[in-house]
Amino acid sequence: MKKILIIEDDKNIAKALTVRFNKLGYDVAATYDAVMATTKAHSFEPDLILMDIALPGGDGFILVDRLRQIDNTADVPVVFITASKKQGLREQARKIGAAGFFEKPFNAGELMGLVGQLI
Amino acid sequence: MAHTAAQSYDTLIPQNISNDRNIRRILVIDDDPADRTLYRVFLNTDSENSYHFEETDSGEEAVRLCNQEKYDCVLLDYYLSDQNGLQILDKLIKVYGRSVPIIMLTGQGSETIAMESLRAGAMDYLPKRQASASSLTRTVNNQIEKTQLRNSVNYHLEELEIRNKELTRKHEEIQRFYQTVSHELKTPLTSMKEFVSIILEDLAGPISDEQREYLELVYRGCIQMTNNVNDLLDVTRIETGKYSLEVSPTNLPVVVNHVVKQMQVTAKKKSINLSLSVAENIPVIPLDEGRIEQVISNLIGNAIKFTNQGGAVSVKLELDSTIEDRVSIFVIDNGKGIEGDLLDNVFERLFQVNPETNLDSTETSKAGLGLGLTISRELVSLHGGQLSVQSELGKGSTFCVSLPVYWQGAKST
Repeated sequence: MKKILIIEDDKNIAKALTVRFNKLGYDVAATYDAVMATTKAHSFEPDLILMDIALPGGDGFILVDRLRQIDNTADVPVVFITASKKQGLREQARKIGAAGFFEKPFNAGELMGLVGQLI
Repeated sequence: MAHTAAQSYDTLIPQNISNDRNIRRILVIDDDPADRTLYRVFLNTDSENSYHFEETDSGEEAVRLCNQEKYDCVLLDYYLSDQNGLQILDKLIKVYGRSVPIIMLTGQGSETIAMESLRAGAMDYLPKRQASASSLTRTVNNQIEKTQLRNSVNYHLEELEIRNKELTRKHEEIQRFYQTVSHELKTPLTSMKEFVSIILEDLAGPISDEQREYLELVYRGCIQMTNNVNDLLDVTRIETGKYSLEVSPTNLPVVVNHVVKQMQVTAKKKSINLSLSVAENIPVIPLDEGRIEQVISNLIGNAIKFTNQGGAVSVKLELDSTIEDRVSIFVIDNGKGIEGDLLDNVFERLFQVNPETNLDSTETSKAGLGLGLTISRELVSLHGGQLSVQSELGKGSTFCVSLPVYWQGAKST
């Protein structure tokens, strides 16, 4: 079973995503802040990470950097989801090598589709 | 005349001048007592102003006096015995700057001295031989008035500067407020939409037809609210100039085609014939593809909304026939049209027309925030283009997006 780690401080969204991914047959874990995320990523060893950019304890981009420095999370594809419509975030995500970028509210179908393609 | 003139400055001048606006305090710096008397006599012929004189024959004394008091005008003799007039002038300028007019009184054949004085900061000069009741009065009056005007202008500039800073600060505060509000609105909206979606997709167990019906209404409501919030955010960001486009060479025919295809579904619901004609020679243009799509979508959506069942909406993309290097996108409908009076207002915020009655519906319940055309116009503007409309009540409307082929829009980051 493929594993997905969701890093999202909005617990409702995290839950909604968990429900969907579970139904599709993925093993899902969720954390709600950047600090716990590193530990969880290390122990859970996900095949894909779904991450919000605005997180308590640090922003998504910094977190990606940190994860890339850890052996077993370095190559995991990261997909961003964000509520912010600040210009340039998409570009920043692209530069940092994110596998995807979605703005909230996202189209669930598209998101599931991308995940299916990536893992 | 001097009364009314002085009156109009009255509210503008800060109180550093004599309380009675007609008594002018003049400092006379001249070592010849006969000359000093003459100046007094001359100026006292001025029927519209009263003068109070203070006199000294020493430049040093004059500087001391000026450090203690602000006169309305200073008369300075170039040929003082204790110091050169220019030196005294320098010292006085150091005290007053240009806030008090200093008039240099020069001797005969003294063009050079006169020029030097002006360059050194004197406001005017008067050769003693030309000094008369009228010339002295006129010179003093002119310089005092000029200085008063300059002082009031500076004062107002400062006021404006302060006011400006305050407004900018408030503006930014309001923008931050809007950003926070839309974030706070979007967050629950997202999860609402998600969970309703999950239920509708049977991921949370079977639901009855009735439940499905109601949940679909809820879902549509979420979409509507999301659109409203996004519109709100768009419009406030455009207005603060914090909106930047992501511009890249765009194949406009492909974009327009894509939008038209998407809108076919909506058009078919009202049996409206939505057609597209694209000219052959459309060049690749630098555009923010997403934003232009937004604009065209908005225009076609409106056209469909305001056209009756069985009507027609046609979209045309072509090079502008009259202006070089411009491309035009026309959205033409044969619907209700827009009344002449309202035509000017269609691009205003919150302006909406009720499709049923064709009347201004700002009073009645709305389907949205009515920001579509406002945002569209701003987006086209940011591209250096224009969005315009022509319409006839009962016959239909034609919206035109005119875009430059070469980038003339706002600077994008």
